[in-house]
Amino acid sequence: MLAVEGLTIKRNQQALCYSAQLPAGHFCALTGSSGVGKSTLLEAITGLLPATSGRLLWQGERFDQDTPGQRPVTMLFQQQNLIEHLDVFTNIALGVSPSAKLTVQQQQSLQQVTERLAIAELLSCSPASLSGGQRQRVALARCLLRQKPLLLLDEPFSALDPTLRHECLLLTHELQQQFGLTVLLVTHFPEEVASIADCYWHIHEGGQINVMSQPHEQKKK
Amino acid sequence: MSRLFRCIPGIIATSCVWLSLSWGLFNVGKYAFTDIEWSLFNDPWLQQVLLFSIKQAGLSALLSVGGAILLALAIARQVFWGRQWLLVLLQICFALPVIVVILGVVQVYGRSGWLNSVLGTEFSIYGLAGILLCHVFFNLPLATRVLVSHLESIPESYYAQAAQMELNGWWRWCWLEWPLIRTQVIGLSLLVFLLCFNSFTIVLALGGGPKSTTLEVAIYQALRYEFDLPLAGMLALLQLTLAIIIAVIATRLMPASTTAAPVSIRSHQETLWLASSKWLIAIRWLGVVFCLLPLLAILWGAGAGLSAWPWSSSLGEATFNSLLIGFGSSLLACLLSLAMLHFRQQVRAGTSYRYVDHWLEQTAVAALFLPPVVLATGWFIGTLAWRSDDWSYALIMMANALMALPFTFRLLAAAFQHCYDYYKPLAQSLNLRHWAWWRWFLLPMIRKPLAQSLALAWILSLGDMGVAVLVGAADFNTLPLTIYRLLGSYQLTSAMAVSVWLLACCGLCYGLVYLTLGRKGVSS
Repeated sequence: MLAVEGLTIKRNQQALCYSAQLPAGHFCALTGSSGVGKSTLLEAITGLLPATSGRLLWQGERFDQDTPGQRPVTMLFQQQNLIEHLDVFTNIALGVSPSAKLTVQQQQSLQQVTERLAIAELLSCSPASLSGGQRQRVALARCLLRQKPLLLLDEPFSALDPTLRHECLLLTHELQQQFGLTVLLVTHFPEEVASIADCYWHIHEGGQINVMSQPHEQKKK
Repeated sequence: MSRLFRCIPGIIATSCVWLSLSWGLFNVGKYAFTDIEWSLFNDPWLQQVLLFSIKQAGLSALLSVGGAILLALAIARQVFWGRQWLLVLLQICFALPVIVVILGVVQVYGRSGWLNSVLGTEFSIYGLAGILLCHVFFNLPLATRVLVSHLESIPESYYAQAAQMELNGWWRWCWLEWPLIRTQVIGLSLLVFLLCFNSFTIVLALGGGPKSTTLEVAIYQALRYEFDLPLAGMLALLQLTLAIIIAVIATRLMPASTTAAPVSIRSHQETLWLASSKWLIAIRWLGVVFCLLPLLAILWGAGAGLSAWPWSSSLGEATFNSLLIGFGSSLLACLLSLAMLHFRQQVRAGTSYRYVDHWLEQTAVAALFLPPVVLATGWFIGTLAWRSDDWSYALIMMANALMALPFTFRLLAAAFQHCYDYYKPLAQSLNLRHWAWWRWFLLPMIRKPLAQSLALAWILSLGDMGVAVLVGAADFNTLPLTIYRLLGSYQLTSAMAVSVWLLACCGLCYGLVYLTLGRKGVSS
């Protein structure tokens, strides 16, 4: 279980304080109006933003003092997940080994994951030559190969067209089941993940989180 | 018809530059080809000179750029008090008068300098070691600034990825930093090689004997001591050929905008790119000490020499000459730049501008690649028959203006383009043209870079000695020449007092330009 206990982040003289729990193996959609601090929460869990107080636990063990690389977390951003001057293979392999040299076993699992994501043909390409969907799948492959139990996704497919977005979401769900991951996904369209999500976190001003089993009703305009 | 009319200043400026360049080269070639001695190439003396020229330039480039990589990493990876000041210090180092730096280096590392008296050693800086020290002093700060600005432009997203994948220290260098600065490193190395290959004053002052002479100094000796015009012409032609070969390779390898890349302040999370390491801190302090020591040495020496203040009528004359030549050349450099940039905008409004665009860029940077000594040699030969002091002024002014042109052109070009891109449509819709356009839009927008250009050109000219040594009459006097002569007669304290006076003049000109022009500039 992921436990967020009074995690406080200072942002523009405003303090955001988060508390919530997410059972292991769940697929959770994170919703809330824009600017309310969804990405801030993900970056704080990943360790990219320093928290002033509070605790983070995974399966009862604290990890909020660890460096980003040591945490049981891997994160996929909305965009800019790839290093442009390195080819696709190196981009993925760096998630496994800092020298980008893989053991035979690592090589095999890389092959499997990239085939599963239909990017095995692109390993020698440069990121600039890929489409938006391909780029995000390359980044997703890296996240999966890092073998971290928690996968955080920050509007990962929002730049794609609706059909492709839906396909990618279904694929993510399948992979989540297959790898037994716990997923926290930021989305502006809760109805799109209605068939997938096990629960919803709705964030309010100041970081207060409502945990729900149904999508939050958006106010009608 | 009216467009052609508006192109006239630009055409005059461009032809002016090319005429003075080709006239110099023509004179060099004229003597070189009248009396070709191919046997010269088998002369062991020439071979040694050539070998030493290449060796010192190569080593200078290696040390400067190698050191710059380390120092740039130490600056870019860390947050520390005085970071901005260190960057300013690096900028100052590059613009310092050459002869003043030589003096500072002698004071610190010379036979009776600080280092030797502290360590009790007998290290001599005359020869290769001194030349390298001075070259590194000028070029390491230049390269460091360029590299820091490139390291700071690494996208935030890369650091976020690197943090997640635990790419620290060495691996961050391998995967992020080195791939992104690799082309810069190659281009910078060639640029520094070229600058050191063309460097004259430093080798003249610290060369010491036939063992460590470069082509440039050999040209000077052939011209002013032996008066052997064909030999000087031959050597100048050889120097020119080699310089052009290196320049062509450098321009091919280096992207255009590197010399004026701005140093930005990163907005993203410090924790992402911060790397605390004792090595980096040590390198940083080494860099600070290396840059500051010669400066401190001069101030200290001048303080000791105040009682023997060498004020005299000849110093007054030298000051007047230096200021006048500096003022003239900075004005000339800025006028040439403005005319060429105006020309470029006129041409850009037309159809086939690419060719002219390229040509104007080449004109502006030509002086960076052409050895000033070769140019001055040509002019010296050309004006032999009717030379007087008045001509010395004009020639030195023109040569200094050409040397400053690459920098003033670059500084002004960005502001010019920015103004045209943003305001030209508005000005056209308001029907504000010609002088109204210059008065209300262009001049206010380029005010700050114009002040920078004037100040930089003035300071560069104040510090230049090479051209004055070659072209000036025997009793012609400028401040750097005065220092050089005092240094030659071992009057170190007097030399340092004059150096401080020269630095004060630099500061005065800088302040004057900023108070009059740069005060109310539009910050872009």
